[in-house]
Amino acid sequence: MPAKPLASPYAGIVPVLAIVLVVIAGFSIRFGAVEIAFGDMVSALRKAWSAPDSLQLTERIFLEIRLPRALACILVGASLAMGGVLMQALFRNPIVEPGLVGTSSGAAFGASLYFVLGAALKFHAGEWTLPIAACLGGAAATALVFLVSATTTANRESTTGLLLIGIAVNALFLSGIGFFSYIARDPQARSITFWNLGTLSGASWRGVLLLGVSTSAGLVVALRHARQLNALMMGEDEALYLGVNVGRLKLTIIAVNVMIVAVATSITGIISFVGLIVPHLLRLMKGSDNRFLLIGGVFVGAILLTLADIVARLVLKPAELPIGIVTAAVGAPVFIALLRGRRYQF
Amino acid sequence: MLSVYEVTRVAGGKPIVDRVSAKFERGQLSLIIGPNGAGKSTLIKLLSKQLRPDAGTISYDGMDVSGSSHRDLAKIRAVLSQNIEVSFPLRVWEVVMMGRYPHFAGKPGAADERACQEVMQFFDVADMADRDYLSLSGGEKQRVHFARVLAQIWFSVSGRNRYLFLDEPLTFLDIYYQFEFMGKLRELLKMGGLVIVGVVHDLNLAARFADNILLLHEGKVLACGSKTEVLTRENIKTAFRLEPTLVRTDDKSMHLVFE
Repeated sequence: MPAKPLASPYAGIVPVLAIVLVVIAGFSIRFGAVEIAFGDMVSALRKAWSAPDSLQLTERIFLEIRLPRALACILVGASLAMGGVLMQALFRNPIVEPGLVGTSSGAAFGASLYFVLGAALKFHAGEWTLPIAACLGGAAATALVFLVSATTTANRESTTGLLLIGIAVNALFLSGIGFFSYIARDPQARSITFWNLGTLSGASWRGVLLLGVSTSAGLVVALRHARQLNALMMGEDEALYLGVNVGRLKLTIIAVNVMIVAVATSITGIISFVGLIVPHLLRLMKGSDNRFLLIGGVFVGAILLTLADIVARLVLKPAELPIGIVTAAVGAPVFIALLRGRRYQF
Repeated sequence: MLSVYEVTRVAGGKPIVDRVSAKFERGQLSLIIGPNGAGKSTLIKLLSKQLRPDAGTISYDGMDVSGSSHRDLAKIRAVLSQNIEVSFPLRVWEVVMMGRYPHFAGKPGAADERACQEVMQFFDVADMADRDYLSLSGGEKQRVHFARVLAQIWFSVSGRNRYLFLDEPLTFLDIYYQFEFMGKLRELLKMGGLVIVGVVHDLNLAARFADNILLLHEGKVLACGSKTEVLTRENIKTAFRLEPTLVRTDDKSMHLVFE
């Protein structure tokens, strides 16, 4: 009897998500203090190549503000979702998000340090200073979590221990941020506040470039390890029997997570819940193959954050709300609803 | 052939496995028995290279396993353990396909698909190929893992022998599936080129199905050989502190009765 071919449940979903993303991003760019017609977008793109001097005002708004903002939003959403997929796979736990191992709070701490003491520290790398400070903070906090857990937990592989230490280190760095915003002068304090709430208003082409590099490099490395992460779903012993070098896999995945999350946080500040919810949504849709979760996560993360950005600009129009407030306000109830209807255990 | 030479593993200053030497032939079902704490589980983990010995060598067909990577070993060696938990929803065939991971990069090839189809038929899980693994009963889940583990070594890689280790995989199965699984192992051995070594708790299961039994006691080999050589009243009494009555039936099988 010829057996039925093993049908992949994942076929066909990525093109649909890609189309949805392009449409939503188009509307996000169009909408704002100045409405930009789709025709102007096309002509601006054409002129940017051939005749950059003849750009109209709306075309310049599109090219210099709206487009980099939309792209940054897409890349940050993608990075956070990928970070969520990677951390959940690594910890075999669906309630983990990239910030739990300290990366986001560390990056925000690095940024606040720069806002308050940047001038005094004589640490200058031009426009790159803030991203560098944030990345260093994120890496330092993550390293601290892993060093402490490696030396305190009896079983170094203990996920619960790692998560608890992550909570402690997060609290420590958040108190540091609180300290800086308390001693800060008014404009500095406002920068720190914005950072902790997450905002896309500072997006620039420089940020888009940085995000583009980190997101695509992170995605390539993550995809190469997707199948090993699948094997890890059955536990570390089973992964080892399938030929996975578990120690090296963990280090690689944590390094990728630190890079993509710290860079994203360095551009926008802390944006919560995206990394937590996107993998859930995808698993509910189709299944848990990490290749699918990573690729699908890039699109769904980008779509959700773009929608959140539209909401953030609508609520207090013409002023705008920090996007992290929107993701948390929408994300928390969605998350609770997912937990109540959960199909899997943890 | 799997050779174990003077293998020792120490934990907490105490040898858990103490200078064990043994040979496991291909085509034979070898079962390791012994009381709790005798080192059975540690020994099987040493054989599969999940643990490294503190002294001694383990070799597959003369190849010292300490010199090969987990990646290479995974192509010819599979391990079935008890009570595997999967944390996320997956289709049954996706779990089985994981067994083929050591054999392909990118997308699964035709041989990988064929191996999955054949093992799923062999273990009667083909009907549930598209079901969510998490919705299965405990016994069904274990059968899916039998299929996955066998998929890993379903085909021989460049004519090499394949090694299957069983770490008490029958613990959560009822008596029907225990017999069913042991029967499947006997069928697999007929395919050739396969070395099977397993740990079981049930002495009668070992007496019924094993070609070769290794009795461990306090980390050392107390007896090794055919069931009539190993399952003697003296050996069982030394290892388990209970004296059995040995009952032989006409079909040459043997039962141990404890009173």
